[in-house]
Amino acid sequence: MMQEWLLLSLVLVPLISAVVCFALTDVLAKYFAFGVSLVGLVLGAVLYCTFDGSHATQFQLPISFSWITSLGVQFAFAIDGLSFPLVVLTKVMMPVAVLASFPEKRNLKLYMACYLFLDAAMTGTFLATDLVLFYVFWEMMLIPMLLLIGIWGSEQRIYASLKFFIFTFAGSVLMLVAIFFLITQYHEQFGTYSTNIASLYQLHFTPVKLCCGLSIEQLIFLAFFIAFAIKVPLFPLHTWLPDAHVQAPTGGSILLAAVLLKMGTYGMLRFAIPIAPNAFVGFAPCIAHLSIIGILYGAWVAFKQKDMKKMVAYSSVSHLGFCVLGICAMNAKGLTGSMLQMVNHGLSTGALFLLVGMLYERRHSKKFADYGGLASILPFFSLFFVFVACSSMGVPGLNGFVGEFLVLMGSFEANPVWAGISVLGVVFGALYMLSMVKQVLFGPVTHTENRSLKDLSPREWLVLVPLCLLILYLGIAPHDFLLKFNQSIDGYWAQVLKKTALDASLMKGGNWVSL
Amino acid sequence: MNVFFEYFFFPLSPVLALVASGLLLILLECVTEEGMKPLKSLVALLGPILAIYFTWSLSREWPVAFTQGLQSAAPVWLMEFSKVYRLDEMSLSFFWAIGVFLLVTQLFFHSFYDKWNEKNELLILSEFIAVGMMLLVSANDLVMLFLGLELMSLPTYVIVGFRREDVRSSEAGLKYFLFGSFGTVLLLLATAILYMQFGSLKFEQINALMGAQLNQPSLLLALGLMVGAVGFKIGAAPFHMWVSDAYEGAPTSITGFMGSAVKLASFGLAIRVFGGLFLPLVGKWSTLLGWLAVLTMFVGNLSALVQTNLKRVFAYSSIAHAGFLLLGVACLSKDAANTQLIYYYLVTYGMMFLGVFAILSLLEKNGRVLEFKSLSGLGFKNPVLGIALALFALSAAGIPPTAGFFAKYFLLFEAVKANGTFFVVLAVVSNIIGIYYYLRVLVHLYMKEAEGVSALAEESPSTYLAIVVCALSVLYFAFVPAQLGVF
Repeated sequence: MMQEWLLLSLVLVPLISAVVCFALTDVLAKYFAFGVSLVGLVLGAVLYCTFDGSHATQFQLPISFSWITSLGVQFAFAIDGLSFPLVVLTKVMMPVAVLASFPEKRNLKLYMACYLFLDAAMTGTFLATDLVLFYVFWEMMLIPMLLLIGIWGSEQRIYASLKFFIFTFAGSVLMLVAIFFLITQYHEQFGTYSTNIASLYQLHFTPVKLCCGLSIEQLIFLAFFIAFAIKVPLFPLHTWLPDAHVQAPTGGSILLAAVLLKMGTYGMLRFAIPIAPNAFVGFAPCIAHLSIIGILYGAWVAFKQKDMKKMVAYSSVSHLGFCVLGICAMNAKGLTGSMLQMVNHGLSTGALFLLVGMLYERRHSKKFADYGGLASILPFFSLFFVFVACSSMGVPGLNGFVGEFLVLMGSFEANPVWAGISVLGVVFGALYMLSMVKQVLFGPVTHTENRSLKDLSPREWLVLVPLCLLILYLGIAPHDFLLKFNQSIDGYWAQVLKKTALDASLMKGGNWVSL
Repeated sequence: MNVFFEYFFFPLSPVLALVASGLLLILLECVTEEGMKPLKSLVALLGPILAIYFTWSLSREWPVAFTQGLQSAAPVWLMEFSKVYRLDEMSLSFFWAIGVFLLVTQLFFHSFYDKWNEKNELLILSEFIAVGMMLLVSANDLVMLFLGLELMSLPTYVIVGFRREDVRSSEAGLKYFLFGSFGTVLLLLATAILYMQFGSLKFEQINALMGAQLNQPSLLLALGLMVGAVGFKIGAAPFHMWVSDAYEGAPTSITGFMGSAVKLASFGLAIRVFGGLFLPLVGKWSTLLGWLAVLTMFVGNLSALVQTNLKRVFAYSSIAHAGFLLLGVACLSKDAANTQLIYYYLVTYGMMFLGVFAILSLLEKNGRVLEFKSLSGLGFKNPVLGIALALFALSAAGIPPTAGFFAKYFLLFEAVKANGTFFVVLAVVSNIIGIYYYLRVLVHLYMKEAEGVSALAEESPSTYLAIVVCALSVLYFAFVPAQLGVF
């Protein structure tokens, strides 16, 4: 009985708490939000123990209520191997983001309410097993993020928040049209209305060309895919990301990088690919090429940045390129790597934004040029900074390596050229990370005012240590975590391929591109 | 007596309640000299309250199935006024909405109560406007349609020009009057042509005869004139010119009433005309209305982008919404279910619009100019107003979890079902354009620094009540669309 309510409580606890926040005083709201996010973490831990990795292909812990019955829309939650790691990641990053926002002084009630509302919306997006419910949460999440960037951001905050909102909104309303189309298609084929994911997977489309030489399936795929690609963000739809990241407050940046971007890749895996697999197989090389461009372009632009946050933002474009490439490889290794990379990127980029935010609080600058030689002034801070940078550039022994390695292996199986080119992204990754580390931490102390900076406070230790332990844990022993969801990954392509016209026997090491 | 009660009095009771309260107000005005404002307000409030109560008891007595629809040969219930007045589920649900809109508006009418309203004309006229609306949405006869429309429109022209010493208000009243009466003339002309053609004014009789002569030129002329008449009334492009000026010039709370209730009744007219009278000609008008709808959305959303006056912004926003609603009307067919979708959209949009103008009237009362910049910092100074206005803006933009999203969702889904995917794509593109000015409201509420503006000094409990009711209904109907009779 208790278990059925677990998923619902993951969403409802932060949602209700967000409303409660307004009734509290500013200081109280801060601690209350942190407490709620810790409760969320505990619930996440319960989920981690409850989730059965050996049946990861199936939806577990389902709970559903009828909502709009005549259109078949349900209020339905369930979890499987695809959403499990991301839900856990969300719950891990929430206390980090709230704790990182403690120094903020203005309008704390609304600030904390935004975080909690965002938490509920993100979790709901991952848990929803109804397409319309998913869409509702997907759009809901825009509001708190708009406010987070727009109210508590830096100088260009209004521009950045509007750009973020309009980019994402533009993509998602086109997805909405595709959703309508899917529902009518389902009605034509099965005679009833349903927006349940499992039933939508059963749809088949006629290969009739509809417009612009594209079939129905391809149009639906593109509508979904563009919405998700904006969120990822995939080159060339990434231009909102640097603005949003640079202007957002630390906590907002952490959640944006750690969780919000993953919604894009999650959406591709959950909706775009299984619903329109033939279209995906057709477009996969094209998407792979875009993601490779993203990997190299993001890395190169990151190398050229003079602002820490902007550099980390562009490194996200590069890292998320690996995630998409792993998906396009269409094999178990690539997808495992991609899923792992999503979690890894969440942890290490989240930690990087956290560290940059700590520097910003001390010195009110994000420019490389204002720092230098910090290692001698802030030894512990520098230790963490180097550690996280190593994780982000994929040093063996830390989490980043495992994900990137698997993605590269998977894409090598699919097409050696892809792996050959995108491996350069790893090299560039080391280049930009190390050059930032060098300019910020090492060398002579060029600014005397930096000498008086204080090293980490207990609060900052409290945030950084668990994150770094997780980074280390996933680097040394990813197996335990992988076991929780790799079942669903093995089953994933089988399920997708069953729908495509491709012969199942080609699954073993086949070269998809030449098909 | 009993028969009289059952077949005359009871079915007309919502209308009669409003008439009675209007007449009683006039009487009170003659009998009493000055003062007694509370009593008059009470009598005024009693009208819509009783109308809502009678509507509720009517719908309980006649649990008619909406599924039978407009087109069904035997309308659910027809009154023997030689069948000019038609009471079906559509009219009942519109009665309900008209009553609620009138009630909520009266809660914040008094924001300029004392200044211009010495004789309570405003309350009296608003009761009669509501009577006209009810007759309009339940008309089953072209003359009745005309009477209802005029009874609604004439007092509206008057109250739009109510701020007599204000040039803008007089201009608005005159402009609205000229455009409105031009629309009415088109309606009359269409009526004349139809009467010439079919020798009848009853919807069913015209309907039945129409099927045989679909390509008659005079019939097409009547249809074209009717499109113009309805277009003027709902403010669809290219008949939208009056909307922004009339909405801006009218007293703020009147604008709220115009954008919600008058819009609702005008779409009641559109549904009766296209979903009832001209239904056999559906092939002729549905694509035309689809294009007009898309044009209206783009005109509304693009024009609103460059406005700085909040009343004008929401006036253009209401044009854009009229476009969405018109797309719903364009999808009307023999399946009556989409009448409910249009109704759901109208009610949720109307609550949003009323809430916005309740807030604006409160701002105006505090001596603020109604520009974007006067919203700056309001979100933190007056949290209730801030959250409510943000909610209304999000609902108008169609972002979940507000009712505005579901209204758009149902309507656009219906359009996709009716093979209008192309129109839907254009509609969402216009919605993307429109998102910018709705977000500007949020930007000013929360993100801009207040320039020496303090919290609102003059409070008004009943206006707050209206705002909270609107805000809660915008949230509530999102989660339980069934409560509005949809699904």
